[in-house]
Amino acid sequence: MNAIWLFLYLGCLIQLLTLYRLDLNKPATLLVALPILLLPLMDRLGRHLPWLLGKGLVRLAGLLSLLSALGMARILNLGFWETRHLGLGALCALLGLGLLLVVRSMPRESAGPGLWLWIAAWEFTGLWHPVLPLVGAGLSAFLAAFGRWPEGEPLAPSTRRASPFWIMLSLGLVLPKPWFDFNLEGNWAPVMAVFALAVGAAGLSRLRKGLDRLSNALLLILLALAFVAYPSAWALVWSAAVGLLWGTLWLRLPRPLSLPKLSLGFILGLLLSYALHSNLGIPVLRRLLWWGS
Amino acid sequence: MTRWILPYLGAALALLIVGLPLRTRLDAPRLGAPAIVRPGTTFEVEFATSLPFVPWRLAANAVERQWGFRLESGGRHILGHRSQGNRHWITLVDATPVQGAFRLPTDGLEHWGEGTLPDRMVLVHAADFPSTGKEAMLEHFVDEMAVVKPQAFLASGDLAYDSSETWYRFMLGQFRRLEAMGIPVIACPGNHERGGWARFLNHFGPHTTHRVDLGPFRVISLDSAHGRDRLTPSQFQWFRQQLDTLEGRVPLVQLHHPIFPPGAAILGDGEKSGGPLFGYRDGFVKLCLERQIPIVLTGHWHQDAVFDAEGQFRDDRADFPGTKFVVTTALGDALRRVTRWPYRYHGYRILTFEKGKLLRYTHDLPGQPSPTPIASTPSGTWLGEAKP
Repeated sequence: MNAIWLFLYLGCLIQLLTLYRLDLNKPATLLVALPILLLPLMDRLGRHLPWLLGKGLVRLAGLLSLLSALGMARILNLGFWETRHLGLGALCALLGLGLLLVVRSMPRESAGPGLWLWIAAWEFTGLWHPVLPLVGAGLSAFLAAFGRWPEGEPLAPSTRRASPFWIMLSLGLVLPKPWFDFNLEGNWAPVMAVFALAVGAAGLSRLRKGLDRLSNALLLILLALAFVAYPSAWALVWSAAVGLLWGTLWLRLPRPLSLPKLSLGFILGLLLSYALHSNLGIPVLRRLLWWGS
Repeated sequence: MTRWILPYLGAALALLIVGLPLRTRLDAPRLGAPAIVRPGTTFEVEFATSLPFVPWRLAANAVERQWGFRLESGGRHILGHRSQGNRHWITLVDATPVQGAFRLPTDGLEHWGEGTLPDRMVLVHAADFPSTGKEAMLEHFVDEMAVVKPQAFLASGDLAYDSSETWYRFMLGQFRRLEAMGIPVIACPGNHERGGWARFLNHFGPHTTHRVDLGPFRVISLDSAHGRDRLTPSQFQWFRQQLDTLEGRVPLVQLHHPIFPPGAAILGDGEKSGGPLFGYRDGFVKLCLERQIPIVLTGHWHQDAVFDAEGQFRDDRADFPGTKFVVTTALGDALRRVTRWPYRYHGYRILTFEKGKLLRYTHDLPGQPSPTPIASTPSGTWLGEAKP
């Protein structure tokens, strides 16, 4: 469920916000950001208030998560998100909080290609409307809360170790390039779907054996290269490569995964990427950021 | 994999809940990006449906019901269709002869019939509109257009400093007035539209870059305000494709941000206007020269300026060779002093073409040589002349 939170919720939400912008002075912004702000407190809350993770409340959270995702998507489908709208902000907050509670209640990590195929399928729906992947997040929360989430095989531990924060930061830097490139055109969605498929493929035993030979440093250098060299016309190939590289690093993260660390790294990476791509006036950056296009 | 059957069934059900009853979004043609076509020439109506994989006839019925027009009405006939996911493109043709320059849209679909356009064509360009409290400025501008009678009005962004629905309703009302005069409006967004981005997209549709073929011209509108002051790789690629398929038309380009910085012509700190095009500037300028684009129209600085392809500020003469990279003063927002050009006034720019060749793009100011370099037309000039 960590991957669902990271890609179908957090990634999709930030992708939407890069499209529509957040006005920091508006109360709706606080609502949208609430699940992310609560994220570092979830472990402590879970310890001090164990009833929060009781079966009944988790089921309610899963249900609310699905209903708010459906509500949000029904309102926004074909339309555009007025991010100052309090009602939409509240729905977004409910979805995030519900999902967060469900993820926290399921410490076991789902693994296997099925999970990444599921993520890829929902990412692809972004081609029809960018809000639809959030429905995937809500539905996953609902299924998990009611015990219907298909558990994958336990992940075979990797001999190498990687830092969750830095791995996610590097992904946050690289992954949004197609969002910035295609913007309102939905073409970023198949690119994200291919990325998810490639992450899943990196876990397949034959491929994993080969990719395991690559050191963390080499993988990070190749990811950094993908940040600089982004061929817009070959974005699908680019995302497959990024998926394989990052998928290999994902398998090396220490388990159990620390969701706050992962999320923080991801968010910082995404924000940094946004800031860099929005400041092309800086001479060196101008040459660097869209190199390959 | 059977474990995943239930989730996928749930996914299909969720998509149905989100998408039913079937709704549509008309993407093209829209106000600001109309389809202007000669009789017998095809054009496409593009729309999206709230559910993917809907048969095109069902989708077409839904778009007609929701938007209140008939795809096949008058002389309009469906020639073909294609679909991809939830996107539909329906090819239409209308062979009805057009009296005069244009047949105006009457049923809400922005389909203009193009008749006989004069050899000498006039286009008007403006940017950086007035805002709430200065509504009269926009009304007067539209009144003035009734005198100038251009063949089209190009609006290069910062149309809505106030992103309220009230302002949008008022501005769109003024655009409709222009249309009623037979003046199609071709618009692109600026940075201020980002303040109420959803509202702009709701009113103008999701294609913020588009092309409109108008007589001998292909008007290409770009969106330079992604992130900040830039084109994106895919947008630049799209721009190149438009230039590759000109079919003998003269390309005209509009975008909000000036292409070049003021450079040595800057006055003080240029009132911190900033905002030249950063991403893809070199490639953009190269393409403009290669494809002999006569003029690139921009705004953003709230003061007139003109540059040549070398990025030199051309306050020496108006008729230099090569592409003119033009900045037009604000139509109504606060004026600034960005460059050494001494004039500051609200205005718009009149472009005169003869058989597609740019003849004039500046306005002669009193006491200045003719043609005066750089200068746009001060607001009210033609309205004043028309008064008895």
